Amino acid sequence: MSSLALASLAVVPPAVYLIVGAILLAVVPRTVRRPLSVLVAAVTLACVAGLEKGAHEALSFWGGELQWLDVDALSLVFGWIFALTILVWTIYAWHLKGRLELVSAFLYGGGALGVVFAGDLLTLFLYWELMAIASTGVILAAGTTSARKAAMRYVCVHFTGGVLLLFGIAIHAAAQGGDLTFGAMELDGAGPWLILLGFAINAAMPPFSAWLPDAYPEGSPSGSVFLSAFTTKTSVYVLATAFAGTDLLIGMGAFMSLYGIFYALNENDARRVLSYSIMNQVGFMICGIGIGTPLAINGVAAHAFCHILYKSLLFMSAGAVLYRTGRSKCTELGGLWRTMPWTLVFGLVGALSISAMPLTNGFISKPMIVGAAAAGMADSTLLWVAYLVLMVASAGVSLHAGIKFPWFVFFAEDKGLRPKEAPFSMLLAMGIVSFLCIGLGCYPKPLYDLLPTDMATLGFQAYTLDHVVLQLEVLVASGFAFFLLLPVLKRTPTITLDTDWFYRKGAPRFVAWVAGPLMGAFGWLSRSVHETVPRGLRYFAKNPGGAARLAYDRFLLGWAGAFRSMEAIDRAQARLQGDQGRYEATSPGAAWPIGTTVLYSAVAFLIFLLTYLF
Amino acid sequence: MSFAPHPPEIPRKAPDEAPGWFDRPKNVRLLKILAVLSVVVMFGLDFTIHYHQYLGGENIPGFYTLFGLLASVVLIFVAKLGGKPLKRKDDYYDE
Repeated sequence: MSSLALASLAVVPPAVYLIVGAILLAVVPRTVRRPLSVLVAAVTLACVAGLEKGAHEALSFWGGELQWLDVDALSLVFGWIFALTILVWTIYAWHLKGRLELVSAFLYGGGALGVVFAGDLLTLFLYWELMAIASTGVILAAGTTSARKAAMRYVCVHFTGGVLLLFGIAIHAAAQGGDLTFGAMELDGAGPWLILLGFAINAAMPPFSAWLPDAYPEGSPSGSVFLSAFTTKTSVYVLATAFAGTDLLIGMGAFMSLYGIFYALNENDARRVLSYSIMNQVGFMICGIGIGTPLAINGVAAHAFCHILYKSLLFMSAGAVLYRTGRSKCTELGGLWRTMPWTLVFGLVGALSISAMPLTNGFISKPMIVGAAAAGMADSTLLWVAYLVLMVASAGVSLHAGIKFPWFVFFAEDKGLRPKEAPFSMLLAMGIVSFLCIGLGCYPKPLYDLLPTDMATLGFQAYTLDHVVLQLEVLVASGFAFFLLLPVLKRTPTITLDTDWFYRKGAPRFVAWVAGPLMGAFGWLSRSVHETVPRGLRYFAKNPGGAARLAYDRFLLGWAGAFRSMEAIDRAQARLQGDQGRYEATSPGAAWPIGTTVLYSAVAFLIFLLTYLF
Repeated sequence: MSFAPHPPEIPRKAPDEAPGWFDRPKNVRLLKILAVLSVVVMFGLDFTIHYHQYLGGENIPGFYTLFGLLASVVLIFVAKLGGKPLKRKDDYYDE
């Protein structure tokens, strides 16, 4: 396609193609749906290819303007990888029969592309919420009970995050005199802090992270692949735009990278391992955003790009296994190399890439972030610690994702499973992504040319002798340690509690322990007010003598019995039986019918209005 | 919907299945030797590299091999011990 044709596609933001595409996909018959999904994704990618840096479009909206297309170098990197991922995913998901996952995924992808090309905070927020809703649809499309429950928890967390973000935007805009432009911010008030919090929830920063390993492993085989790519990475984009160079993020990112490894090493379900591995990798990016130098930001953008490729490849490999076996737990898998060799090979490419093996794309992106930490560590203890943590985390990546995932799924103990190789559509998608992983690892120039700062000015070279030797040394050493300590790493059919415990178990228990007695007290109060007291009063009005005798006899039998003779008690009991019968016959008070209630309310309002007006 | 959580039929191992490449003890031994060899080779290569100091100990010969081993062992044991009180049966949340 000529560049003129590409540019003419780009007069409308790429998100629009996906959203209109999603609506079309919802209505067309099933036979057309799959080819149409690939076509829409391809057109979206072509539209991104036609975007120029600095392009700007606005949409009139309620007397204001929505900056729905604002292209800078950073958004272009994310735009490319998002559009590319959607296209490859439509091939991977060729087996899908239902429309919910496909339509939700296109809306979700549209939301993500909308966020990265949004020029103002209001547009950003609208797309942000579209992502939250549509991604919930992707989880729901798995169709299982556990997916439905996880989706409900997921959407609660994201709506909470969205509300915090909206508050933050409102406060920030008020402080800026109504200016909604989205750009770099200082953490100098409630507004930016709330915005940061809203972003942090979507970035899965601990302790707001449990939604990710809770929900992503519940998606369908293809749904998880899609989920793994977008939410956390749009968050990386917005954090890099708004909060680059914020020291807090260096510490948060470094902590996050270790947090992910801790859980990934403990988990049994392969897709839970990979979900925690996302947190580990996003930790590297957040740390790079905190460092904030041109090299670090280039590294963040490049690493997000490469990470999306190899992480979706890993999820595709796990998804293909799930599709063929219905299993994803390490304890139930093993020995699949015999019948799923291609899935193994592509999974291994992903595993080596995430470990940053030379000649894969992880090696050309991650060292930029680590190098940015190294460049400043001579005069900053914080960066010295960050460098140390990132190096330890690099060794940890190859342990949990690089070796653990392929080992326990494809090798380890043979469980006697001989599933068929993955369908051709899945293999084709995995093949394309594997090609990109190795291709960029060997020839990073196309990616480097996209980055915000010209790589020639930064003096960074991925392939130097010391980089290659250092990386290989750490990789083979951690691989060696893995097999040395294999007995310690033996899988058990367990999960490891994360902060979602607080809302899944803690909150119900809190209700049972603390609110339970309170509810009982309210119940007693409610019965007294609505039943016991009115009925007693009515009975008293009808039969004052009987009511007084009833109360007296009750008091006598209940409390003062010990002080009276047996005959007195017997007499009281006989009397009480008669009175009790008459009392029970009294209605607890007629309920007011709705019509009467409305009439009384209307009268009350009328009186209120009259007193208010005059 | 379109995918069943546990498809009823997964083909199983046939009783007369021929052993594959990774089933042969000879090949597994070869891989083990290669693994140890690669650690040794990388350890040796480190002697020839001069690093610009970052952490401080880089120019101890074989520093990053030792670093990688130590980091991995520490991570594995910290995860193992720290994970112990947090582990639950995987149907813990199912009720």
